[in-house]
Amino acid sequence: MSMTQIVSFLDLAIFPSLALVFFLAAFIAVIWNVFSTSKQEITAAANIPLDDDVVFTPRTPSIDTESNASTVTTPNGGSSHD
Amino acid sequence: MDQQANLSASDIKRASKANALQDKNGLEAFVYDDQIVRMFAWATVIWGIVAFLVGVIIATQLAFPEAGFGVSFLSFGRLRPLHTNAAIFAFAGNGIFAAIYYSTQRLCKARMYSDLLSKLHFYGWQLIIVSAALTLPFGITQGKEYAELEWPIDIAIAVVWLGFFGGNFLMTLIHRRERHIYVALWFYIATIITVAMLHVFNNLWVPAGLVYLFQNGEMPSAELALKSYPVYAGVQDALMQWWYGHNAVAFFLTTPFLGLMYYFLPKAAERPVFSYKLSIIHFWSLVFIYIWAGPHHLHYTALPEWASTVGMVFSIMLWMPSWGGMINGLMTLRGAWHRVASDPILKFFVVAITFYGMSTFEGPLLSVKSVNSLSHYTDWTIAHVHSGVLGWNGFMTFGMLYWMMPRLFQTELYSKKLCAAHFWFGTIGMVLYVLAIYAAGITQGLMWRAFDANGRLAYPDFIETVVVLIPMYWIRVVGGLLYLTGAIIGLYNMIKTWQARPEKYEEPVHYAPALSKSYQGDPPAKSRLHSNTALGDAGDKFLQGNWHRNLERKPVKFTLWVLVAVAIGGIVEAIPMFLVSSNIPNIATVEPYTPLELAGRDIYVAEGCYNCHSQMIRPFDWETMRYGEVSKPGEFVYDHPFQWGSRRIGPDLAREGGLRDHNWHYRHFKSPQDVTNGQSIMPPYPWLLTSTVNFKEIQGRVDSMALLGVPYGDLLLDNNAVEAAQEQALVIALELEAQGGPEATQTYDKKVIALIAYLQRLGTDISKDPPPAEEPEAEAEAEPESDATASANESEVSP
Repeated sequence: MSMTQIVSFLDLAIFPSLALVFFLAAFIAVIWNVFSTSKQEITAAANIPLDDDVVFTPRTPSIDTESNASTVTTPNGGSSHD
Repeated sequence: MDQQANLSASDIKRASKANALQDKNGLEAFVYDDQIVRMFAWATVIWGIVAFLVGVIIATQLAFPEAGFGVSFLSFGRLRPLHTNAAIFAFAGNGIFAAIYYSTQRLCKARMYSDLLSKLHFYGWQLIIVSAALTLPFGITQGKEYAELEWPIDIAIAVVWLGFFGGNFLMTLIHRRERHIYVALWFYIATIITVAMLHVFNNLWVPAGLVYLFQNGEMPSAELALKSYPVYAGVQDALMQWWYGHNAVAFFLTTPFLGLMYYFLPKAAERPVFSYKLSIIHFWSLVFIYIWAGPHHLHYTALPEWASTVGMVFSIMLWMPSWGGMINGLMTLRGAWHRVASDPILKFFVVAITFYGMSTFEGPLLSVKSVNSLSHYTDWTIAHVHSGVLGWNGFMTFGMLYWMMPRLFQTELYSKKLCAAHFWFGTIGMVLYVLAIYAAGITQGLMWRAFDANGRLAYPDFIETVVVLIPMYWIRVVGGLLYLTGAIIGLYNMIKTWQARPEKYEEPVHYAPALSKSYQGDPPAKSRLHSNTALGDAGDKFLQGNWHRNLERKPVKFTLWVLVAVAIGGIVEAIPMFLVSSNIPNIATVEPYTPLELAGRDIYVAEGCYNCHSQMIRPFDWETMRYGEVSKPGEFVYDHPFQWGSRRIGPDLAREGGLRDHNWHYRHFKSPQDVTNGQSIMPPYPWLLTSTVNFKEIQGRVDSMALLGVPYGDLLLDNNAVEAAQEQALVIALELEAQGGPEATQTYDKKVIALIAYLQRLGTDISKDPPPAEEPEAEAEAEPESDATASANESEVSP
């Protein structure tokens, strides 16, 4: 029996439902894992991007009168909502 | 992490990965490669302006067709792929590379693994873009949306993407100094893996030039040398293409930009992401769901119902993670909203995330079949795409670039006011553009399906539904011009900032401990149950979640699991489509294109006719009354590639064959306005009337199709295909002359004749009489009738 014949026997109408169940199972597993992770671990991970800024002293001022504060700040980090 | 540098940057860069220099405390020293980020940042802005400019040109052509000037390489059908490829792969592509190279190094606390691979990636990618710009306007295309580039460029993309970029990225992850892989990097991993998979499987082809070369020892033309035919045909090609096409949006225009958002938004807002937990759910949900959604591009087409339904169900599920991600992005600005008013960078990010929310609400909405019946083939889809690319991708990119500029050029941004001006030009441009095209799309859809009191089409002449859109097309041009102006302001601001750079860039030295090579991850969980079954214990261990925490720290395993997640969706949809013969019932009267029709079809593809015309009649009264019998899967079994199209700037052509005489087509190509009372917005194609068909290379085209299983029989022998093509061309040229056209001696070898041959064939096979049955048992399937219909001719016998 060829692969074509085997697959042809499948009831394809059930595919959307099977896919939905498959996804739901994976989704529940991820949700469970996420909510079983400690707050300390989550906070540490969330702060990784804030841990790498380098401050350069501006050589030339902006042509605008107001200073451009957002470009040279060093973040203090913080805690994620979680 | 940053300490006083006591090691020089050049020494550190020279040190090998295995023997990184260390300070007296045993910390490893490293320097980030920002030069590669600067290169990609420049490429982003420059190619972005090219993409927007071409967009404005073709938008103008819709409102004012004369703007093509009758020049072949300026025609809408050829320039539109250039615009889409430039916007996606040149502008957005370089933008994500700039973002990935900047953020990956910092999130990994490591320089990119190989400077050489970084440079090969940069120059290779720019070469691919230039190749696209040099081929698409000259009609060198595969004819599949967003996958138009021909086979040599496809190979280059695979090498550059996976070999240079993917390899460099993965090796950087492996050599990182931060144990946890931050969620932005997960999105980058998914991008690299999935785009590679999509690209490879959607670009399996037979190069026609190589086939000819192997069989004849010569190459008849450069055109044939670059020509290829996809291995898939018809319905299967459509499923594969939109599996690719939709997921190009998902994994080229969504996941990398989400990674970008999860890195650059916290940086700009100076606070961590609102919910890291939500970002994890966002990631896995997208990776699991997105890959299934492609068939929603093919509702009510000849695609089987089950595949279409799978696409719709998963598209609707996408609402959940998409909006979760949008809310996570906007809520990251909690406590910083007062800065949005004064900081144009945050303005860019806020509008970008808002557009992400709007377009990811709209996408699932458009995938609902009843909505899709109205929206499909209209400008509504175009508006949806542009709200995503201009709003989400464009503004995320510009926000990221403005945030990086002072850091990359190590000086202050030249002008915050110009940055704000860019923001407002872009925003107003987008609003004008998108609203006008929404109105155009809904107007089109409603006019196509409108009936009068007597049950007849209210607008039977397609041109009526075109001319009404012209004012909206002009508003679109204005919107595009404003967006382009904003980008030019951005380029000026970037140049002026760059001019104020230091004579020599500082290269700060960073220090971090190397990760332990003996790290094994968290110890295996122990069951907290006293279960009598192994399954219960295993379940409890699973629920404790160590498996995922360990996965987050192991890049290779993580990458493999992402591959598994995305591959499942593709496999489940593709395997039944390719193996179940009942999905594509054969139609006894459907035959391969003649050699001349095949050459004409290749001209149709080269001119990009699919950019304006569909070849798919959906099962609605308003479509069958306008165009004819519903299209059937079996009609497309020899279509390499399929040409169903995705929009109808012009009418559907699925049943064009025999509707008009040759002379009408000839005059139409010469000047569409002359045969439509000046109303058509189709550009003229004067070059088709003067350039000649290279009959010699037709044999190579036929031989290539035969390799793909198209039964050409004797036409494969002794250059028979060439002779057959010349004979048919002469017949059509004589008929054209008899209908009042030019003398046959002037036209028989011209491209227009081949194209007319193809158009006159379209959709005619199902109305032919079926061949006489040879065996008694075949009679029931053949059922010869005087008014033979496709349904009577369909059988479920595999080719």
